Amino acid sequence: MKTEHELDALIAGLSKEIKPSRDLWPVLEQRLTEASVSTADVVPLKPGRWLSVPFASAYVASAASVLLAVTLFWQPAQTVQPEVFNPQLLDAETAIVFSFEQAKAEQLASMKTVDPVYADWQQQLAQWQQAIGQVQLALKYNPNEAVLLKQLRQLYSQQQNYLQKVVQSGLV
Amino acid sequence: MLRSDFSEQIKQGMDDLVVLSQQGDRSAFRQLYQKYSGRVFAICLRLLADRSKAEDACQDVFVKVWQQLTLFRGDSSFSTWLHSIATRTAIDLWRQDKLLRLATEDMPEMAGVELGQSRELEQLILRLPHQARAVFVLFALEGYQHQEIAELLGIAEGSSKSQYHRARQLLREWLDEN
Repeated sequence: MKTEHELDALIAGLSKEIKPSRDLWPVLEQRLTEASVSTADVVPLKPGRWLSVPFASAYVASAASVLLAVTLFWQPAQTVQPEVFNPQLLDAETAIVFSFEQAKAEQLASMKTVDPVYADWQQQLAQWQQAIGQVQLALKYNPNEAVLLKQLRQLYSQQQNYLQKVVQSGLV
Repeated sequence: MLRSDFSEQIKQGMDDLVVLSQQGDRSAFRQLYQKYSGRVFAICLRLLADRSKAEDACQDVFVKVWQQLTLFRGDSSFSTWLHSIATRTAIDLWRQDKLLRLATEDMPEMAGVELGQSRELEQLILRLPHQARAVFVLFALEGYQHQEIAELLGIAEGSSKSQYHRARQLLREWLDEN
C-alpha cells in the first residue's frame, strides 16, 4: 500500500486548475444579461413628480406614438452591412446551441475510427438530437424558460460526453 | 485620513479588471472569468464529481460574482473572495446531490500538470464516497480546517476527521490496486 508520505506527495502534485471541456462564456454571458435585467426589475423607484402615474402614462403614450411613427415611415438604408457573428448578442437558447454544436463539430472532426462497442453511435446521437428538438419545440412556446434551458444544456452535455467516449475509443 | 482617500487606496490595490468589472465592464469580467475559471471549475468538479453539474455550477459562481461584485470592498484579495463564493456554491449543489455515485466519465483536460499518477489520483478522488470526497477536497486541496468543514457541510467535527481518514485510506488502497 502507498505510504502516507507518498500519498501526500501525490496530493501536492495535483493541479489547482482544471479546464472545462468547452468554453462556458457564451452561455454565461447570456446569463449575466438575464441577471442584470432581473436585478434592474427589482430596483425600487423613488416616488417623485417625474415618475408619478399621470406623468409616466404621458411619457409612455408619447414614446409609443414616436415609435409608431418611426416604424411606419422609417426606411432602412440601402447599404446592407455584412452579418458579423457575435455570440454576445445571442439569446440564451441560441447561445447554448451554438456553444455545443461548435464543440460537437470539433469532436466529429477529430473522429478517426470507432470501437465496435460504439457501432450504433449515430443512432444514439440521433436519439439525443430528437430529445433536444423536443425541448427546442417547447422553448418556442416558452422562450427563455429556465427549466427548459437547463434541460437543453443537460441533453447537449450528455450527448457531448457520450461523443467524447466514442472519439476516444478510436484513439486507443 | 479621509474615508474616501482610504477607499481610493484600497481600490488602487485592487486588480484593474476587478474595478472595471465593478463598473459593469463586461469585457473586463470576461478576462476575470478566463483567469479564474480553471480554479473555480476544479473546485466544482472535485466536489460534485460530475462534469455537467460542475459546468453549471461554474456558471452559477460567476453569475453570483457578477451580481455581488459591487459589494466587494477589497478587504481580502479578489481570488479569496471568489474562492469563498465558489466553495459555498459548490457545497450547496453538493448538498442537493445526496446520491452516492461513481464517476464513470473521462476526466477533462488538465491544465499545466503532467498526467500519470496525478491523473489517476484525480479520477480516484471522484470515486470517493459523497461525504468523504467533500471532506477530502476541502481539507487536503482547499485548505479548510475540520471545524470550518463541519460548519460548511453541517456535520460534526469528529465526522469530518473520520471521513478524511477514510478517504485517505481508500485512496491509498485504490492507488495500490492500479
